Amino acid sequence: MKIKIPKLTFWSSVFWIIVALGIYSTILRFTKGLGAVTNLSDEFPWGLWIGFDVLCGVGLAAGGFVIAAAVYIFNLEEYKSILPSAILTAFLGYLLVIIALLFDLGKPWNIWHPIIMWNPESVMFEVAWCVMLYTTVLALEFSPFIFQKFKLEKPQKIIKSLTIPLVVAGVILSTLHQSSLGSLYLIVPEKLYPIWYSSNLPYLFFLSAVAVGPAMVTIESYLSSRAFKREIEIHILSKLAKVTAVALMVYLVLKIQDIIKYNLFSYIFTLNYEAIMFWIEFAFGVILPIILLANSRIRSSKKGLFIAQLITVLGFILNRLNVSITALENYTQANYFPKWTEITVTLFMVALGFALFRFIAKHLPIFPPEVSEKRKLLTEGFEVISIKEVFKEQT
Amino acid sequence: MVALFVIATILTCIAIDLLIQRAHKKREIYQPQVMLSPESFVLPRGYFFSKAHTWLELLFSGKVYVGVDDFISKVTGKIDAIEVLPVGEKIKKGDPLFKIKQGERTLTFISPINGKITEINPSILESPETILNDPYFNGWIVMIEPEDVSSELKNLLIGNEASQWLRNEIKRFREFISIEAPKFSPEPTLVDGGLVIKGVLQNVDEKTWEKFEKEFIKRI
Repeated sequence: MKIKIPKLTFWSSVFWIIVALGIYSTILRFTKGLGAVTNLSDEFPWGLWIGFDVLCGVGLAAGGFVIAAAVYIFNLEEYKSILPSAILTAFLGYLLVIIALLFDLGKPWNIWHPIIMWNPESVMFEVAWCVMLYTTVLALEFSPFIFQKFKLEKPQKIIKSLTIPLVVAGVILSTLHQSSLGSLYLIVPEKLYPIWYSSNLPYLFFLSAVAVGPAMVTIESYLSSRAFKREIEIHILSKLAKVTAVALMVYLVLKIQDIIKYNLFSYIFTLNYEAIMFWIEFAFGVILPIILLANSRIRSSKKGLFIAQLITVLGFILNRLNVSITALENYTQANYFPKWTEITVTLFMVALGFALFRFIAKHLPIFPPEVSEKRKLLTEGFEVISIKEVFKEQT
Repeated sequence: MVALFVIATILTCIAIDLLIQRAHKKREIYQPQVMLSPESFVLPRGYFFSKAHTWLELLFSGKVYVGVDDFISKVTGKIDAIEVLPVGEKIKKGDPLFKIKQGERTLTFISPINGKITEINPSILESPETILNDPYFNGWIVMIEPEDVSSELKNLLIGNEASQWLRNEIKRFREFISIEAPKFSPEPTLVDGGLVIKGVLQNVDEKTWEKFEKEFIKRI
C-alpha cells in the first residue's frame, strides 16, 4: 500500500513546530505546575491564557449564536448556508476554551465542582454553568452533521425537532455568558484602571461579542473559501457586516457615555501607556470599523470586507486584553509578560482550532455541496464531454 | 505590552501569509485557465467550430481569434513549432492557414473563413506547447478580419451542434485508430476507466499521420 505523505508547506511546518512545543509545555505544566511554565503570580494570577484563550476565545465564538438567532429566531433564511460553519467555529471555540481553562486552573481535576457544589452568588459559578450548558447546546446543534455523515436518520429527526428550543437556549446562555465575562471585572473596581472600569462592562462585553461574531464568520468564510477553493458568500457576509456596524455603534455610544459619566477625560487625554492603549483600541477597534463597514462599497468588496472585519476582530482582541491585562498592570506593578511556554500553549490552542476546523470541514457536510468540476465548467460556459461516456454511447 | 505583543504576532502572521499568497499567485499565472482533464474534451459554448478542428471567437470589432480545439491538443501529443502565414495576408476559406509541427511531421490547418490576417499570437510562436494546456484562451493562433462576418459564420458549428459533432469526431477517431493503428486504439484502461487517447498520434507511423490530416483536418 502506498502511503501518501502530505506536502510540507510553510504553514504546515509552523503547525508541527507549534504542536511539538505545545506538547512539551503541556507535559511541563501538568508535571511541574503553573510556576514552571508561567510568569503568573499571586499579584497577577490571570495572564495570557485567561486574557486571550478564554476571554477572546469565547467572544470570537459568538458567531454561532448570532447566526443561529438570525436564522431561527428572526427567520432570516438566507444566512442558513453559513450557519453550519458558524456553529462549528463556536463549538470548537468553546471546546478549546475549556481545554485552555484546564491549563490555567491550579487544580484542573476539580473542574467538575460547580456541577454539584453550587455557589449561586459567584460570577464564576455563572460562567462555569454557562460554558458547560452552552458547549452542550453547541454539541447538540452540531450533532446533525455527524448523523448525516453516518446516515443515522432517527437521531437526526430528534435533534431537528429540538432545533428551536436548542437555539433559544443557546442564545440565552451566550447572552448570559458573554456579559458575565464582563461582570467578572466588576468585582475588582479598585484594581482596574479607570478607563476600563464601568458598571456597563457586561453590556459592553455583550455588544462587542455581537459585533465580533459576524466578523469572525467573515474571516472564517474567507479562509475556508481559500482552503477549500469555494466561492465566498459575499452577498450574505456584506449584509451580516451591518450587524457588526450597528453593534459597534451602540458600543460607541455606551463607551462615550462611560467617559462622560466617570469623567475619564483626564485619564484618556494624558500621555501614558494606558491612554495610548485606550486610543489604539478605541480608534482602530471601534471607530475605524464603523467608518469602513458603513460604506456599502467596502461591504460589497471581498477584500474591503475582509480587511474591515479583520480590524474589528483585532480591536476586539485588544479590548479583551486591555481589560484583562493592561488595566491591571498599573495597580499590581507585577510587570507581567508571558513566559515562552505560556505563549506556546496559546499558539497550540489556536493551531488546534485551525486543524480541527479543517479536518471536520473536510469530512463532514459543513459547507453546501459544491458543484462538481464538470458542473463548474458548464456554469463557466464550457461543456465537458467525457471520452468514456462517448465510447459508452457507441457500444 | 501583552496586548500589543498579541496583536503584533497576529499581524506578523498575516503579513507572512500575504507574502506566501503573493508568491503562490505568481506561480498560478502560468497555470492554464481551464482545467483540462485527459479523460474528457472541453467545448466552450460560445465559440464557433469548423469541421477542420479550428475554433473561432467572435470579437467586438467583428474580427475573430482562431485556434485549434481541445481534440487536436489532446490527440496530437507534443507540439514543437507553429508556422503561420504573415500578418496582412489575404486568405480564402479552405486555404492553408497555419501548420503545427511535431519533429519532421506537420499538420496543415485550413482557414475556416475568407478574410485577412491581422495579428499573430507572438507567445504561441515562442511556446507552442501552450496549445496543449490552454487551447481556448492563451492558445489562440491568429486573428482574422473576415470579409463578411454574417456569411462566414453561417457554415460553422456552435452550441449543441458543435457538441454533437465533437462526440461524433471522438467516435470516428476511435474507429480510425482501431483500423489504422490498432495497437494504439483508445480503450478503457484498468478499473479507473482512464483512456489512452492523449498523444495517440505521437506514436503512429507517417502513413497514419497523413491519413489523419486528410480525414480530420483538411475538411470544410
